[in-house]
Amino acid sequence: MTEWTIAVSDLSKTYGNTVAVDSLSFTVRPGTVTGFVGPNGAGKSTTLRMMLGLDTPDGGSALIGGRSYRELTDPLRSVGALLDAEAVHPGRRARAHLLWQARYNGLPAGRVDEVLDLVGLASAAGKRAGGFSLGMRQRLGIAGALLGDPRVLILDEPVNGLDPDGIRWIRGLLRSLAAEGRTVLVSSHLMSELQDTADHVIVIGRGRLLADTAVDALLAAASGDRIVLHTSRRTEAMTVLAAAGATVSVLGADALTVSGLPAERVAAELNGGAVPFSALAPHRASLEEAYLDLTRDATEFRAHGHDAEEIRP
Amino acid sequence: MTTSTTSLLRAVRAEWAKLRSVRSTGAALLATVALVVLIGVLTAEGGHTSYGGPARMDGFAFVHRPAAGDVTVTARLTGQADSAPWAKAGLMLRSGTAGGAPSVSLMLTPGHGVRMQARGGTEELTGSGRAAAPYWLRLSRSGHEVTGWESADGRTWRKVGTVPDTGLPATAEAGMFVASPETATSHWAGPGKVVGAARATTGRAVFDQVTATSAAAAPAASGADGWQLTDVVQPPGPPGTQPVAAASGTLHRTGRTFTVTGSGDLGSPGVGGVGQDGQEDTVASTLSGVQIGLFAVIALGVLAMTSEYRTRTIRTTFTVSPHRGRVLAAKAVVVAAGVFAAGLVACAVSYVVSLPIQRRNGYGPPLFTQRSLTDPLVLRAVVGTAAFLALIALLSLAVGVIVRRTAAAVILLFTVLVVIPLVAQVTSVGADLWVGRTTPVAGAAIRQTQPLFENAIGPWQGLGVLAAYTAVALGAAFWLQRRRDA
Repeated sequence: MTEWTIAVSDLSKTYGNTVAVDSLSFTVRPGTVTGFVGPNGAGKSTTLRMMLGLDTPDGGSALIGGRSYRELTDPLRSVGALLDAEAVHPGRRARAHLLWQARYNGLPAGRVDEVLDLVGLASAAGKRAGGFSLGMRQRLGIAGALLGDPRVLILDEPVNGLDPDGIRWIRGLLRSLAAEGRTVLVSSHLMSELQDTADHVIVIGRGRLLADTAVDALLAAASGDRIVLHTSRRTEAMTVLAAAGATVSVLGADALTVSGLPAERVAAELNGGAVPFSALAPHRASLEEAYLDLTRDATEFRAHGHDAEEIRP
Repeated sequence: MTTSTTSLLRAVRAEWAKLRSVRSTGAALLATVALVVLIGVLTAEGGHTSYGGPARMDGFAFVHRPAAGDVTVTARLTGQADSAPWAKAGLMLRSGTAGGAPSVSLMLTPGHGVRMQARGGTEELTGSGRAAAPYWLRLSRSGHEVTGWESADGRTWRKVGTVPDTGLPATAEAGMFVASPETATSHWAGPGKVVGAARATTGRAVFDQVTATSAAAAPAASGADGWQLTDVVQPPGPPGTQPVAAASGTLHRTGRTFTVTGSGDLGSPGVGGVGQDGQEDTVASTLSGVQIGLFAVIALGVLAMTSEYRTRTIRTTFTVSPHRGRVLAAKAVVVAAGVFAAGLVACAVSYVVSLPIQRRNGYGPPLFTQRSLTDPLVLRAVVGTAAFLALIALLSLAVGVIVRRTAAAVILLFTVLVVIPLVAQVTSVGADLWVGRTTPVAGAAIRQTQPLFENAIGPWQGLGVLAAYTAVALGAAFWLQRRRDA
């Protein structure tokens, strides 16, 4: 095992009657950005809290570099974490918010100014956090995670609240941190946020592991043999193709997905039925679609079940 | 330095950085100082006292005979009843038996040792402070000069002092006297109402080995050797003051042993205990503002913890420092140190500022001794009261950990520290004393410097009670915080 691997094995946590995390096992490796995805209430935050020694698991373990988080001395020097960007005292200035964290781990006060500069908050260092936008708080939280120049980064929904500029910035930051050989775990409830960032995704639903796979492999599996068709005469096209034995679904106002027929047969059938069409191409699934496929069951159940995320001890 | 010491020091620096970076900390500490000083000054301004009795106390039982010229009176006091701390029994040379006549006296008191009085009771000399019967006393006259002596065994004599100009006539009355002053008692007479009353006491003393030798022999006036008992009658005081009726003196004589009883007093305000009822703790009253300053301290202690739960920064704290016991220990150190420092400033300033106000309002010399800030008793009260506030801050911190919500913690602490004591005060004296003894407010007793009837508990014991509650609460806080999910 590499030194800075996050190893979750058989991790379980129950709040009252609600199973938040159910025998979860996965590994996060250095050098890549790993996405940690699941619908709201899937157990992501609970898992992260157990990783960071905040909540005690009912069973199993979450080890970072082979040790439980609570055994780390000066944890900021090995693991940087952002759990909740809103968790700041509104009356405390940005610099002071980072200073006390640095003091706990014996980091020099100068490091505070470095990370503030790194996240673009140097000009707001003396301002009280109560006046910060969510985006600024995210940057402040990320600054805290970077304080100890850690080998492992664990970030819960870091993109939340950032403007497009900020999103671009954090993607670049995460990719460069991973390129330096660090272990980067980023959670999100929106797969699309990770589209251009994560190399690997771990998908969970209802506290269980749904997928633990490279992003490329996931996309290939989700794309299948579907064909995208653009036509202004959607209804006729659907009738003709359905008659030919294809499965057709509506993708947009003038777009359809067709499966069950090869592209040449689709073209032939449409020409035969005198239905005009403008484009015919193999479908490339988005990460979002792949994710929706994976989590459909979990989400459908959740519509009637309890929202584990809402239930706090 | 060990790793854990380094870690604790880092944690203390971190929690200090955390505490001082929010405005509420400075506001709470400032409010503590302001409230303590303000209430202290108001208390000093509101308290007035004045001595309403006679300018000179001079009434007692006197067993005497005339003594011409230079005379030496010696007696052994074989016993003295402890009728009052300032009961007096001893020897006297006097120009006559009328109240208010010039006199010189040397006496033993149950509570204040050997004293010598002259010049109408306005001058006082002190002898051995620990003397108790049996004890020897001697007065010797040489012209207008009188010297007092004391001795434990009648052989080795120690000079108490010499009064050069006594104003005694050529033939004075010499003998023994017994006095015992009125004592003021107070009792609880309903909610917040304390009634004071004066009660006469009767002193009793036994003298033997009595000698009165004159250079010029004086004729015996009456009886075998001329000793006779006279009740020296106290001259009336200012209009409206009414001395308490007391029994007249008695004399029982068996050979050369005289048993004398008597009531009354001698001295002037501030001398011989006159006017000092011991019913006012002037040091404690300057520190009464801590009862209100408490509010700011509770807020500071509670918020130091609950603001972390409210803003959820507690998770950042425990992520940055997974050793939760160290976090709580560091918080306890900075909160206690901050409140102690502010409390020390508040109490010292309140005491020093109150002194001139108290003096102006009668709580000063001659009736009341004003002690400096560095007097050990005052230091105990001032430093102890700052420690009391620090302990309250720690108790509040612990309750903040246990309850986790600001409102609930503050309500709980107010109920225990303010509401219950108030309710007990208006319920009965028994409830008041019980609450003052057994609940955390007992710690406020540390500011007492006098044993008064309304004291529920001694100063150190009271602080101990609060410390015990605080220790238990902190123990529970450590235990809960370690096993709870953050």
